[in-house]
Amino acid sequence: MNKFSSKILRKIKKEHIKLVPKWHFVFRNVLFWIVFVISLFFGALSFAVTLLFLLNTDWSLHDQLHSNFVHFLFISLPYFWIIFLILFAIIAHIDLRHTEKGYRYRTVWMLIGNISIVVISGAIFYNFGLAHEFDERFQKHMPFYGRMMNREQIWLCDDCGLLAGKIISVDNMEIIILEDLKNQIWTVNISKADIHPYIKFEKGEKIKSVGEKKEENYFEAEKIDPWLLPPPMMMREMMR
Amino acid sequence: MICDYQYQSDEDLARLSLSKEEAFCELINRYEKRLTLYILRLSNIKQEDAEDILQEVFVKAYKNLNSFDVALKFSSWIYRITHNETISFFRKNKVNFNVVNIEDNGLENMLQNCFDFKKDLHDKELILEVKNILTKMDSKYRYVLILKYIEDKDYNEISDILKIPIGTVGTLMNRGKKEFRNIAERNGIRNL
Repeated sequence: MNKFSSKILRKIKKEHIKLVPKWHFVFRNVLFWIVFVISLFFGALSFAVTLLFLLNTDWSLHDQLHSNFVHFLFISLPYFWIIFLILFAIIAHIDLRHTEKGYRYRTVWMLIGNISIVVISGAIFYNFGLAHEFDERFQKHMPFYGRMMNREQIWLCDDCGLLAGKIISVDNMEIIILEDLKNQIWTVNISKADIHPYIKFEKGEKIKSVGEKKEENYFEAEKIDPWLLPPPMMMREMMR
Repeated sequence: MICDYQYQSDEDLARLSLSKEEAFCELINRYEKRLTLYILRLSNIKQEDAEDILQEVFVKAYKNLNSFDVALKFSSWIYRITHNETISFFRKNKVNFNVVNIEDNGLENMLQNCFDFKKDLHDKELILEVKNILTKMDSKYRYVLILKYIEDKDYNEISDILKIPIGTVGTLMNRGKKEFRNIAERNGIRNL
C-alpha cells in the first residue's frame, strides 16, 4: 500500500464513509423508468384526446363563423391537451436521458422513438374510446374544463346558426327540446334536417346542430351531428 | 495490509472492493498516476489541488461502488467520476480551466495521430503555439481530443466517460479537429 492509497483508506475509516447500498441505485433507476412510462402513458392519452377533438371538428364551419380558415384553425385547436402532450413528452425525454444508459441515445432518435410511441399508443387509446372516457370525466369533475376548450365556445354562437347541447325530449321526430351549453332551453325543429346516422335521439344525448335561429329559443336545424363521434371500435360494432 | 491483487482485472477488483479494502487499495494504486495526469491535462491547476480532487474521486468511487455497472469498463467509470469532480472543482473555485497543461510527448502524440503531423516537437515556440490553440478551443472539443489522443480511449469509452452518445463523440472529434486547424491557420501555423 503506498502513501496515497493509505491516506484514502484512512479518510474512509476516519469519516465513517459507508457504501451506498445497491438497492438505492436500483430504486433510482426503476423510478426513472416508472416516471418515463407514466409520462408516455399520459402523453399518449393527451394525444388521443387531441385527436378526438381534431377529428370531430367540422372544418367547413369557418364560413358560418364569418372567419377565415387559419383563424378558425387557431380557435379550434385543443390547447389544453396540446400543452399536456408537450409537457409529458418533455418529461419523458428528460427522464429517459437520466436513466442509467440514457446518455447513449442521440436526442433525435430518442425524440423519434418517444413521438412514435405516443402517436401509436394514442391512436390505440382513441380507437378503444379512452379519449372519450377521459374527456367525459374531465367534463364531469372539472367545471373550468369546458370553458377552457374552445370547441364549446364555437358552439355557443346561436346567432351564427350553431347550437349544441343535450336532448331533453323528442316530439314526433320533428321537434326536440334541447338544453344548450349555457343551460338555455331551445325548441329545435328537425323536420328538414340532414341527420347523422349515429344520432339516436335519446334523452341526454349530446348533439350539435347547424341551422338558423328563427326566434328567441327557437331553432331550425339543417344538419344534426353527434357532439362527438363514437370511438372507431364502437362505430364498427354499431355498423354490424 | 498487503495489496496482493495484481493479477485481477479492474472490474473484478471493483467487485471485490465491496468486501475487501485491499482490493480497493489496488485500484487506487493502479489509477493514481493516470488520473492525476488526466486532471492536470484538463487544466493548469496545482499538483496539490489535483491530489485533493483525486482524493475526492476515490472517496466518491468507494461510496458508489454499488452503482458500478459491470457492462462498463471500470476505467470509463472512474474517468467519468474524475472528469466530473475536476469540472466541479473548476466551477467551485472559479479556476480558468481553459488553460491546458499537457506534457510535450502527449502533444506530439496528439498531433501525429490527429493531424498526421510528422515532425518532432523540438521547437519550444511551436509547443507553446499548440498549447495556445488548445487553450483557445471550446472545452467540449478539447476534452474529446484529450481523451482520444492523449488518454488513448476509444469512442465507446469516451461516450461512457462524458455521458454523450457515440455519434456525438464522432461529431465533436471532427469539429474539434476542424477548429484546431482553423485556429492554427489564424495563428499562422500552416503545417498542421
